[in-house]
Amino acid sequence: MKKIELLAPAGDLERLKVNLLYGADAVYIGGEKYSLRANATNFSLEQIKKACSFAHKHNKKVYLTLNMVFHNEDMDGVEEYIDKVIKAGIDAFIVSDPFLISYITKKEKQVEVHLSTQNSTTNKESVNFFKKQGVKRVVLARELSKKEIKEIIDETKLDVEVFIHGAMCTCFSGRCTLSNYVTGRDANRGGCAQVCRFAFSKEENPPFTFATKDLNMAKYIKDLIEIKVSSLKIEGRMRSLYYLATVVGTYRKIIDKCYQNTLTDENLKKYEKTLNRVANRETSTHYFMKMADETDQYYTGRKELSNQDYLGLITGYDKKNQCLIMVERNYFEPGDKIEIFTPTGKVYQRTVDKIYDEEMNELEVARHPEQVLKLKFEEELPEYSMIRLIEKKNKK
Amino acid sequence: MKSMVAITKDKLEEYLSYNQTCFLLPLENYAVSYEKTYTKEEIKDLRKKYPSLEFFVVINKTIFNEDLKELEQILEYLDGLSIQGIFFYDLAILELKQRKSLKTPLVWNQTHLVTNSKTCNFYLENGVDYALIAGELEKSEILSLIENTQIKLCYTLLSKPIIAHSRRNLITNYEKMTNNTQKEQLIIHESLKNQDYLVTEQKEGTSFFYQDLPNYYSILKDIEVEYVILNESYIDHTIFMKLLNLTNQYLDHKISFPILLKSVEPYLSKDTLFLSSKTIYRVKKEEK
Repeated sequence: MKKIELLAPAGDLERLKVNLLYGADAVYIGGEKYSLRANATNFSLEQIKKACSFAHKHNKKVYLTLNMVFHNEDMDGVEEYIDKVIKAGIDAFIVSDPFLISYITKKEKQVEVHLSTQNSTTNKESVNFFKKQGVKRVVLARELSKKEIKEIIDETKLDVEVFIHGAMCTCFSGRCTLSNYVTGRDANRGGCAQVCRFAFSKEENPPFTFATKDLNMAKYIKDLIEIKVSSLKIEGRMRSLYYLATVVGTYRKIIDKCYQNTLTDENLKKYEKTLNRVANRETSTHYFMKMADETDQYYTGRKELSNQDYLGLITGYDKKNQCLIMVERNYFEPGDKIEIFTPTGKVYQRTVDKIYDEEMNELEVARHPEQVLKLKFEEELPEYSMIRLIEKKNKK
Repeated sequence: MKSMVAITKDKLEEYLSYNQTCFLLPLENYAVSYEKTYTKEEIKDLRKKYPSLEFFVVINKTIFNEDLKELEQILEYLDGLSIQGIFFYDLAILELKQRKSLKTPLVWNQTHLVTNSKTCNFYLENGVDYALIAGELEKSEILSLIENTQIKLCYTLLSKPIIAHSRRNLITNYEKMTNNTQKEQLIIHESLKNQDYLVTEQKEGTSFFYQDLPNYYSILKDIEVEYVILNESYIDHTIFMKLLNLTNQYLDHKISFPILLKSVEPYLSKDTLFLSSKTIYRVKKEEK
């Protein structure tokens, strides 16, 4: 049986490497044009080549989003661009426009076309339409239940990808232009200003939003495997390295344990706690087991939590002094309980003893983000290992 | 070029007296973001009663698996009525038309997605006869789209523009959170643009509309489309009838273009929305 794919978002080459090293089977990226994250860093053609080379070396895949809603002026040059990206080694395009789907599928059989969630595909007949156009995979709308997803898979036999984690839209993808009308920024061409999170008012009532909570499907991964979903997608090409490492690494463990039949309630709770701590909003499973309702939204009293858990990125090892070299991100001090986690999945829990600067001068606390620090540690760790806070020293 | 109207009153006679001959009929349970809908039996009755009029039906809800069986029956039923076309959003309808060899013409009506001529041509090659141009295009983009496609086109000239649609019951959820009495409509205000928006809810979900009536009439003399659409939903009936009358007088060459522009102006907002201003999607670093 083919193992389910874990698909992660990469805004740049470093994020791509972190995703793949932490256990993603594939990544999706945006080019400098034509994606729905026009303001993300995005990849040049040269970077796409590097990305594909790195991924393929690790036996993993790279998909390029080409899912904006094209105006006539956007069509200029897109066909040439597609040809160049194919030569750069891309494994699949994520497309919403049926003209481009037909252009790619007629031209190139080696490169897959995945139908973007921008099409809000919600039923088996529309999947059948795109199957006839040569689409190999459909990224289903986020508005579907488990039953609806299963029916589509069973009856179309097409690969299906679903979102499992990250921000949710209030409206159907492709059916929302709130951003266009309120800010002039085109939601369907990558400029979404997330107006559903803006404050609206109604008569004398306090301001409110139409914002949704984030998606977190950790507890239903086993169900998604059972109904034969092909790919599990994490949202967020603009997220931080720490967020990606934590989310990708956690879902990697959940998936592997599902296949090994070793996922217990206890370790699922632990993984959910890890995912919740890295999020800055509350989460829910939205439509998967019920119709989304008022519990899946923030109208008022929205909590956007600033996460201080990420203490730093490990960048090297000082063999002479037996110290990890790290770049600090958030304040910590001796006595804090920390967890050092690595792309291999190995985790080390420690209590901070002494903190040193680059010249091995001892510091009372680490208070300067971006400062290079050293911590005593017995062995060298792989690139992109990170440190997170588990418990503050004075916490009772 | 003819006008096509989505109306809100029960009797067609009033509209007929304004020389209106083409009507857009949103199908009950299958059309979203319209004030008035019709059952398939009502559509059949209208077809029978007014054989010389043109009727297009709207099926623009997002279709789910549980809808498909009935949808197929409805499409077959409508196919026997000799209506002029079906405005469709979900690709399931195109798939069913192709599989069942249905003869009713289709109008590509993916609200915000009808934005380029190559995709219009794709749909034309795949059995779609018309396309309704998205409301978020600037004038030069509309002209370019028209120039570069062979598909027959429709353009929304008058409406409260539909902005967004959600599967969520956003008003019900809001009223539950605030312990207010259930309503089907809300007017909400957004302070950045200092603009009101209409929010409506039906069992298929929630729709957002621009509350004002933008003035798109200036483009009328420059475009050549099959139909201009006037959608009465949530517009004052008296104002709508005045604007319909003026539009039809212009299309029937009874009034000049300058007279039309001057006459419609008092009833419309000064806002021309995207007609005079392209949307942007790349924000310069310093503007972030």
